[in-house]
Amino acid sequence: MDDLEFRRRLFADPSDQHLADEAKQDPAKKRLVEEVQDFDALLGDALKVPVPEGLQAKLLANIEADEKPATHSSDNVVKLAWYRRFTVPIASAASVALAVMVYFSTAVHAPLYAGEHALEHVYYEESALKLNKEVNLQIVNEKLAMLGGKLESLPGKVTYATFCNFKGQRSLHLIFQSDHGPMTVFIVPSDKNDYRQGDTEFNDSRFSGSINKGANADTILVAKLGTPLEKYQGEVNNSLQWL
Amino acid sequence: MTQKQKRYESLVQVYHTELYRFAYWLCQDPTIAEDLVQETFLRAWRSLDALQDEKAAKSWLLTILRRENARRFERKQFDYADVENDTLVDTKSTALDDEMEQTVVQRQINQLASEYREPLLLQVVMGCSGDEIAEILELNKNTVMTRLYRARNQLKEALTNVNESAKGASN
Repeated sequence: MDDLEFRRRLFADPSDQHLADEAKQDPAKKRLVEEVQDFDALLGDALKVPVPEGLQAKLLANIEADEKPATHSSDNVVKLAWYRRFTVPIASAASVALAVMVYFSTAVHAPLYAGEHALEHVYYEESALKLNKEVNLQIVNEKLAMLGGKLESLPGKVTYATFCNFKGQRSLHLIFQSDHGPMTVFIVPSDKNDYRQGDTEFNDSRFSGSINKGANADTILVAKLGTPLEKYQGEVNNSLQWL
Repeated sequence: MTQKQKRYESLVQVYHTELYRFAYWLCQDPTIAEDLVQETFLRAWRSLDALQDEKAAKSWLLTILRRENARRFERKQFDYADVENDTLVDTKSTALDDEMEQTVVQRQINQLASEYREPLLLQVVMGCSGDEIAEILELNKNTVMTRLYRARNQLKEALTNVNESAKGASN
C-alpha cells in the first residue's frame, strides 16, 4: 500500500487493524498511526458533551405513561382528550350544520318563530336524542363558558353538548335525560333578539317546548308531549349562572 | 416486569448516552437533542417487536433518531435557519491550553459540512463501522470512507491553522 492510500485509509478509520499491522514494519507509518489515533482521542473527548441529568429516568418513565392506556383499555375513554369524546356528535353536528345551512337558505324568506325553529332543530338532530353516553358537566361548562355562562347541575345525565346555530345566533345545544325522557336545551345568548318572535309555549304532535327569556340568554326546552316543562325551566335556570 | 420492558431498559442503558451526544451534535441544541432522544426511545418502545436482532439495535435506533430529526426540519424549518455556525462561537482568545483546545475542536466540528460531520459522529460517538454507517446513511461504503477521510483531513487542517495563528498571535 502506498503512502497516500495508507493515509486515506487511516484517516477514514484510525482503528483499522490492517493498517496498524502494516505500520509495525514502518516507523514513519507507525508515527502517523499514533498521531491520528491521538487526534481521534482528542476528537472523542471534545464530542463527549454532558448528558442531561435524569434523562435515563425520563426515558424509562415515558414508557410507563405510554403503556397505561394500552393495558387498561377500559379507561381509554376517560383518558381521551375531551374533544375526542365527541367524534360522533361532531360528525353528526357537521352534517346537521350543513342541513341547517341548506334549510336556512331555503327558509330565509319565511321567518320562523323561535318555537318552530326549536322543533325543526330537534328533528334535524333527532338521532342525538338516542345517545346515552354521559358528557361530563365540566365539558358542558367549558363550552358554556364561551357564551359566558356556567351550569351548577342539570336535572339528569347530559348526553349531548354542542354549539349550534340558533336562527343565526351561536348557542349551546344540550340534551339531558330527564325523568320524562331526553330533553333538549338550547341556551341562546340574547344579545341578538331577531328570533324572539312567537309564543313562549309551543308544541307539535310529538314534542312540546317552552322558552324562558332571560337577561343574558334564553333557555328553550323541548321534550315529548306531557313533560312538565315549567318545572324543568325552573331547575335549569336556577342552576344557570352568568358572569 | 415484562420481557419487553426488560429489553427496552437494556436498550436505554446501553445507548442513551451515545444517542444523546449524537443528537446533540446533529442538532446542536441540548433541548432539541433531549426531545429527539425521548421521541426516539418512545417510538422504539412502540415498535420494539419489530427489532428481531439485538445486534441491529444501534442502527435501528439511529435510523429512528435521524428520521425524527428530519421531521423537525419538515415541521419548523424557519426556526432553525442557518445559525449553527454562530451558536458555539468562542469569544475567548484562542490560546490553546487544554480546556480551550476542546472548545476549538468543538467549533471546528460544528463548521464541518453535515455530509462530513454526520459519518464522523457515527464513527466516533456511536462507534459504528463503515458498513453500519453506509447502511444508516444509505450510502455506499466507499463514499462513507471518503467522507470520513475528508472530515478528519479538514479538521486537522483547520486545527493546524488555528494553532499556527495562535502561536503567531503570542509571538
